Amino acid sequence: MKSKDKIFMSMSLPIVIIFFCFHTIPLFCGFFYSLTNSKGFGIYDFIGFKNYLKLFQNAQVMNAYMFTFKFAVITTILVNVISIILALGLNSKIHFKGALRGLYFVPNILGGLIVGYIFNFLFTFVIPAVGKSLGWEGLSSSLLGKPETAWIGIVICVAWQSIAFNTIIYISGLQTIPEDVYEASAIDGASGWNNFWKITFPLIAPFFTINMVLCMRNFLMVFDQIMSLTSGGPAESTTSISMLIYRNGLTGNQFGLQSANSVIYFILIVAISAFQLKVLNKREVQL
Amino acid sequence: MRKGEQLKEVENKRWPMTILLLVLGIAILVPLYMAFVIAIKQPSEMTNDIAGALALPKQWSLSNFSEAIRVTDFWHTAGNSLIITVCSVAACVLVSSMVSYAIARNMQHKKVYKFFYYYLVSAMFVPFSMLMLPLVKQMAFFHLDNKIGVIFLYIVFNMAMNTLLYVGYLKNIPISLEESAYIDGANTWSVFWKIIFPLLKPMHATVAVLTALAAWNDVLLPLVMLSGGDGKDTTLPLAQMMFQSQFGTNYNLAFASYILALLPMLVFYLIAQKQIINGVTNGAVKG
Amino acid sequence: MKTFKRVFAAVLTASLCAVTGAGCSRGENSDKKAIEVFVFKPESVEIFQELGAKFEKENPDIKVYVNSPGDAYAILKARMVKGNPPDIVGLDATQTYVDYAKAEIYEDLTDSDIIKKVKPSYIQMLADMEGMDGKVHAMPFAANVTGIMYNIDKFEELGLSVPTTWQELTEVCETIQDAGETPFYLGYKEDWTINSAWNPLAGNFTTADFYQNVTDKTESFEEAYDEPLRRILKLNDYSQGDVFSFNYNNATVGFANGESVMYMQGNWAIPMILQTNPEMNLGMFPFPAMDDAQDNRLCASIDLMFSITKSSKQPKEAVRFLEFLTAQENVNMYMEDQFGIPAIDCEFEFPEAMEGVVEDFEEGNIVSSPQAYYPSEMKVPATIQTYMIDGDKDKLFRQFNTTWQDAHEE
Repeated sequence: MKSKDKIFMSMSLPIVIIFFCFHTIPLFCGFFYSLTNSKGFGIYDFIGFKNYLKLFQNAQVMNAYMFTFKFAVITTILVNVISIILALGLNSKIHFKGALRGLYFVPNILGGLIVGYIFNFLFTFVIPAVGKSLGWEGLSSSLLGKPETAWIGIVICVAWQSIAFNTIIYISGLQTIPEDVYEASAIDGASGWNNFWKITFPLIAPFFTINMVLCMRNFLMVFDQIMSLTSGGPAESTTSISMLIYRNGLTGNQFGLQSANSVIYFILIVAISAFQLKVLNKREVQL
Repeated sequence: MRKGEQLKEVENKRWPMTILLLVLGIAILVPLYMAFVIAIKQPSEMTNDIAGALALPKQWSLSNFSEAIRVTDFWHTAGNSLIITVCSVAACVLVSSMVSYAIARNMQHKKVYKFFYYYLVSAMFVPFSMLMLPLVKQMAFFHLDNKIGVIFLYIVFNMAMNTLLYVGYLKNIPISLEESAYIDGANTWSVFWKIIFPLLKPMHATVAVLTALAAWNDVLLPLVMLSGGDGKDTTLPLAQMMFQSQFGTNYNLAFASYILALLPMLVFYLIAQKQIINGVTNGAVKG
Repeated sequence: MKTFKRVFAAVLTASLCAVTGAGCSRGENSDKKAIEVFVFKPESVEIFQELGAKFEKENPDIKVYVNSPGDAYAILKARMVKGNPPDIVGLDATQTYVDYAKAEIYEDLTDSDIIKKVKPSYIQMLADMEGMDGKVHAMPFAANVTGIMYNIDKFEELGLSVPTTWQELTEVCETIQDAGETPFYLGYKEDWTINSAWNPLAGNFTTADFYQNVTDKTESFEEAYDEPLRRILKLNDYSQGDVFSFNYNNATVGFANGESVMYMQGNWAIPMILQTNPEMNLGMFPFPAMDDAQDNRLCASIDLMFSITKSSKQPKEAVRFLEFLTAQENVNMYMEDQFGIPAIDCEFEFPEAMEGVVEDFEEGNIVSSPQAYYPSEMKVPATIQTYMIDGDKDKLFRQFNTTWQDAHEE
């Protein structure tokens, strides 16, 4: 029995140590740099919590937080609503079921950067051309060119990609519901809408939880699509927190300040995810 | 499914829903179709209207592709992406399943494994941008700012998700299978290799798919780790980024290069579509 | 502690090598000495590869790697953070370069032989910009001029002549608009393109002492930049409209295809324009920023300059490469390909497309681009882009002033 324990330990401990070295140590380093005025190279001084104070006075940082949260919340809701509807459709009795599911999953396998480049062209030239020929004022100029609408372009592009994955998860959730549950409710004379809220939704609630948490986390960290769609503009209206940390921390000289920013960012992500899990778990009904 | 039911099923399949889903599916195909059409055109056929972007050219030309292959050094960069992806997948499957086995079999009664579990899984919420700069420093210090280092970091960064998936799945594998092997005198290593590892096959598929997608499409990590030296480690997305600033004024060439960058994944998806979708589904249901 | 770190590193690296089953050694297998040349201009990578190959042929003992990644500034920073910068760094004249120079990453080249091959005016320009007691840490290689490019055929068609004052420029623009054409194609989605209008405007409205005076608080951004801001805003009226929707590539292609009559850019855009439309009859004139043609100066800057990093293991070979670049034949190769202007003291004939700026250039009627003086945190083009959208002048100056002060308090 002793040797069994030893083997289990030798299976896991080295990995955990490596994990500590290449994940936790950089994390601590990041925290350390957040207490300095480092530019990333050269000499630097230890300045205590000054960066954190500066952070809250920095309009740019606050804007990035506002944008990122607005973006993440709206995209999370949008993606999940559409995904559930699509999943219900794709799980119903339809022709070409396999092919359709296959088609709807395609966006998920494509790289965010390149999808961004393609959508960029679509938004800059194709959609305004369509808008002009239809005489629609709102569509006749690029969505990405105005601070009020640029974020919508990013929502569309990111949602286009993420819906694929979430739909598949919801479909697998729907498949876990045994047919006889519906048969029982049909006898009670429940309608489709009632069926959904009273039976389907509670039963796929665990999948809803997973999707909500993962979506929120992914969208809070959005980077690739913004890089290729707007690079954070116009007027910095689409600068996400990741983008800001990358750009100002790496290209600019605010390594210390942006390290502080990432510490706050990390704490927020953890807090939001924990909150989501707590609230959503309460609502779940276990089968 | 019995034969009678199958017949009934066919009759009950609904055309309206099928057609609706097919129409919605156009939203997925339009951007890809546009990219393809632009890629086979010559600049002279490009006009800034809808026809310019969407109409098929009079003459198909593949010269953009051969040019794009040359300027992005396609075979080389795709080769790099392939090596990184394949190695990351193999390593993730091996390492994560091993750690997860040790954790899953011990976390109920040993606090240290419970700690390992939460420690590894909680990393899911650490934004990469927070680790980026310290990690760049650290990896260079260890001379790991190369392909090997990137593969290594993919193991570390995918550890959270993979542990979650494997441990969830392992909980459902009855322990009795292993116990009989122990009675026959096998040690933990051979139990893992001979019994557990094969049993984990469905979850291996899930982990492989998720890791492959993440590694193949990733931009930020290779961007900060691999740029430099002789440039022989450049991956496909990096080549796209560079291409963008170098030849971005030739839209046709640019789109040919996007298509090229998307193609390997698309082909792989066409071949292994079923396994990929099943993989994702498994992750959601059993993870 | 240090030994522990080393031992730990060694053990870990060894175990990693074992795990991944591959060697970690990055050492060169051949006897050749390798130098890495980092260039921030991706459009120049091909010509540098050509030059590198030529250099290798002439110097068989050296191998040259040319590296020009996308998002060059971020990558360079990552390399600096890593502590293994390239042997030779090619940047443009911005404060990013100065930051690295101040962090003592570059070799001091002030008294080196290669610097003697550079035209003195550029060394002066660089020394001013660095502000380190006349020291320079780079060899200026190519210069650029920012001005207005125009479609000569369309100018003739509309009976226009080259404007020399701001007033004339607005008249030209209005004539073009009356004829139903677009004066400028603006690609302000990428904010750096705003520099092409801002540098000549802001440069012409200030003197060389301006930046020192701002630090000393004897001059202010508010006063000096009021008129340039008004003018740059006016230019948007003469654009294709929806200026924040189009990027540099879009604008370059648009102008090349005749969708606008003029295009505000530097000479670096010429290769791309001619690549898109090889038939184009292209001209260029200095940006007429002032009301009096006498006061107007051509906006110029150092386009590309090379530094040697202190950590380079092959400093001698790096110097040899830079020497190689200064040879007449090689200068010509680069300048012809990139439509550049040599900063090296050598023979040079301006290409036809740039004839309109030759006079100012040769007479030295030049203003140094303000871009070189702004600290990177100031993010001038992004701030101006924001101002163009929200019209909040106070916010713009607040941003300028605080970042300037932060950067200049020692």
